[in-house]
Amino acid sequence: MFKHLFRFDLLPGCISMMVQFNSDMFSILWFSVGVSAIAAAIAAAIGVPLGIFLGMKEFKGKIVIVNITNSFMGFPPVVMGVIVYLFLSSAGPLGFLHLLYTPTAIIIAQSLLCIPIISGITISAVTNHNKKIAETTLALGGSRWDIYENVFSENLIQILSGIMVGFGQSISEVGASLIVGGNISYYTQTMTTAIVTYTQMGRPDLALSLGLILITASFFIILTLTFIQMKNRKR
Amino acid sequence: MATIDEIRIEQVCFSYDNKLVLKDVTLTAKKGRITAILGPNGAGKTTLFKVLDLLLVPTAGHILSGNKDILAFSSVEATEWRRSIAFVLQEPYLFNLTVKKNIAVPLSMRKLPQSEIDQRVQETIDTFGLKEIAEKKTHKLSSGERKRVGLARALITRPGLLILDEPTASIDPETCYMIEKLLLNKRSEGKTIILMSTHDMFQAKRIADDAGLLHKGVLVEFGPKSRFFDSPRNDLTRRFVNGEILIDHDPSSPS
Repeated sequence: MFKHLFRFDLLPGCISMMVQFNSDMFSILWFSVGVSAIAAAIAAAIGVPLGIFLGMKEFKGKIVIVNITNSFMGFPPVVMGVIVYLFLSSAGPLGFLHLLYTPTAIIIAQSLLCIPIISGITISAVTNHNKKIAETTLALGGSRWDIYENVFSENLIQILSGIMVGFGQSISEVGASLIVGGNISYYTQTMTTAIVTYTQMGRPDLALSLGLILITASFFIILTLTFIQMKNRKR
Repeated sequence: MATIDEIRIEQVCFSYDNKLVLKDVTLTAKKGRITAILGPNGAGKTTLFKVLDLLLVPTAGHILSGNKDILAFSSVEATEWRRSIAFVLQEPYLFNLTVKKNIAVPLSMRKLPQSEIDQRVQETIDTFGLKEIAEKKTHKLSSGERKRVGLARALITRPGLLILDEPTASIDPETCYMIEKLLLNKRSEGKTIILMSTHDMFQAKRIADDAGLLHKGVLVEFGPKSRFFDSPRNDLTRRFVNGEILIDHDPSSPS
């Protein structure tokens, strides 16, 4: 009966395709990982300091800003794709940059999706102990800068988790990449947009094997990052 | 090492949320002496110490070190002040590092050469008997060990003024004895002002030179230990040293 629920007949083909893992597949995977890693890195460079700042500073309206950040953590990628599209299209305010349907456009959209995730997780990590860390740092003769440094290093494990979640969001996201990247073969096609294409082309076997490769690759990348995190814990 | 001969706290007031936490607190702590501030929880001891460490800004008063009012310090001078003294919080926050690295933190924040840091860390580990736990991560320490590490980390900078908030609260008698001995050794060196809070009257009797009773933000009595314990002038102090628990008493009303 399971035969009707799942196309097991596709599996042997899938696996042989995965084993062959041709250069086209490799270049799509490499592109996806590269774009998502750059997007996560850019988002971390903005989201981590922003999260530390928001987590530590007390000001009027902080709750509103933190709530907005948290609700943006679940921002639909497709909607982000449309917004970035409108900005980058030739009629849009940034149309003169001619970035639509380029890898840069995908990086921009993915970074924007990642920033609230990374800063949101950083805020919740930092809020925990920041007062004690700040007080202790000052009492030990530290400067304001030392406070930020210590809050960062004391919460590094959670901050790294945030970056991992951001990377996971980027590499699995399809809507925004499709809209602003245009799914151009050998140029802006990512693993996820390729999966969509192959499914629509009536090649679910190919789509499934790409999916399995994507899952395997993300698994190993996250595993590596987790090892880095664990090493940090033992510091 | 920074030397401070005496620290004069003059009529310091602090209020928070329209509530007066410290009311006209005046006292002098001197080099080579242990000054103990007694009082129940919520009396304002921690607040007073945070004001001294310039972590809180008082609403009124002066704190004089030599002829300088530390409350008028710029932020750069405030950092310099904090670097010349040491303040150990009741539950010292230890960084997620080994004991050894924690102890080195104040020195590396002062950008001292690594060779000097290593040497002083080693000395401190020996003095405080922390050799066995030097490589341990701090989350694996007992509360007594945490207190000792907190104290070691503060004393490594050789401060002119050492402020200790309940240094022996909730720890075993053995560690308590060890900490008291360390403080007495520090006192006998004669270079440091030691200001501590405690709600253990017997501890104050054992190690302090001067004692004061802070109750509901008011320093009801302050003076040499012998006078404080043997012939207190204030009725509240008398009751306190006789072992009475002070609750719901307004110290500003005549007693």
